[in-house]
Amino acid sequence: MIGLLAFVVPAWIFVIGLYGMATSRHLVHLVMCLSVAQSATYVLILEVGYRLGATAPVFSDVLSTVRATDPVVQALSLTDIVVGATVSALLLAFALRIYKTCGTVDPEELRPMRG
Amino acid sequence: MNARAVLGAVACALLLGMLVWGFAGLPPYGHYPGPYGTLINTVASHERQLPNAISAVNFDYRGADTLGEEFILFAAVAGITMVLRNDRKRTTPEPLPPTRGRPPAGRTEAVRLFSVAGVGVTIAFGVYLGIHPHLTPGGGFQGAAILAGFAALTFVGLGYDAFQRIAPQTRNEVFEAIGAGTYAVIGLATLAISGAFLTNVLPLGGNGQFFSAGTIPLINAFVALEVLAGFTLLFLEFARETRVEKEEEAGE
Amino acid sequence: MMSVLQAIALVLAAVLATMVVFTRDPKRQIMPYMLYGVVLSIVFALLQAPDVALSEMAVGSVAVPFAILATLVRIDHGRRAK
Repeated sequence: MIGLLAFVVPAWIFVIGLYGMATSRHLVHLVMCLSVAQSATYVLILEVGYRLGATAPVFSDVLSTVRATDPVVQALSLTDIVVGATVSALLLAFALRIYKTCGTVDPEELRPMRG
Repeated sequence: MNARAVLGAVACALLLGMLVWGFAGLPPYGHYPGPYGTLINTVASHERQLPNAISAVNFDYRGADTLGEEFILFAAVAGITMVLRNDRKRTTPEPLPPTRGRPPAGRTEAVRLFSVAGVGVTIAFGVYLGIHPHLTPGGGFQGAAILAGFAALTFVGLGYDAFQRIAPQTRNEVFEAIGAGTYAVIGLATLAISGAFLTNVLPLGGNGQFFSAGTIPLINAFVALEVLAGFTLLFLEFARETRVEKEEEAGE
Repeated sequence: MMSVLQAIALVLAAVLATMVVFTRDPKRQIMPYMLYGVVLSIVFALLQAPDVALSEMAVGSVAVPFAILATLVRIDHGRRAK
């Protein structure tokens, strides 16, 4: 039961984030939906590294041979979260610049540049 | 629901089905098979003399990946600065005029008190979290992200002027550059010393002591500096957006 | 026991993600977004990843909401000033 749920939930979060991005009417809403879709990958990659009945891979008080989860995926996720937040802030700066230049934040009303 | 929403829903449903079908081919949940993780768990504590295997992976076994991520952060903050900067305009300390029909609420004493009290707690906790990744869960990325909260608290509690005085822009940029550059310099130095980029060449010390694990705490300190300065610069640029802009030269 | 907790947290995360997407007004979307960050942090902690949980908590409550609020203030001011 948990096995099926564990793989449906990241897929659902990713797909719902994509749907939100595709039907968004406000650029800031779009950035938050993108952030939600990114978080689905973190959940999935941590689930791949999980072991039943295991503990965190920090061996301060347990022996190094005890059953522990995968440290590589955790290392990749934790830097990725911080960097992903900064890139989201960059996208917000772009949204602000678009607003100042074109006067709208609706992706529907933005037209491609011509000429 | 217009046509785009319906089409989007259909396409997303198809994608959901295919993703679940693909994920079903992964090893069952909780039965991680891979040899790499097990191997690192078994040897990291002994080889690098540190309890936290995640930091060993971050700064030693996969140190080049972390260098790349740090430079993504650097580039993103540089991009924010470039996009939001109006180089012919300066901002005044006044906030933007109120936009609804009621007067601005002003900053009450309670907000000031709790923000200033929060700054001390934030800095203490951020430093505690960021300073010893080789002993406890934590590290430069998380600790510095929390530590940069002092900038947001100062802006909320004491205003843009105080924020500008505490974290001036040039100093932030210098610290960010020092943090990012030193990581690369350490890598090049280890390349020169031992022939491989970012090997652990400093003495390893005992497991669990503060001065252990070689280059890992050193790299972590510079990563923390860079992330802290980067986030403070980010907050500064966004806070500047809430100020009134005035023209410096007329007719430009 | 741990499996039950993980199942509850994952379902909660999926529900909150849906709520974040279907709140169309960005000024109202910030609150579900921050709640989603907290629930995600709990999910990471239950998956035995303390570093990742700390990271998500630090970032989701400090960095991104500040930037979103500043952007919305500026956009809102520009709209009303017209």
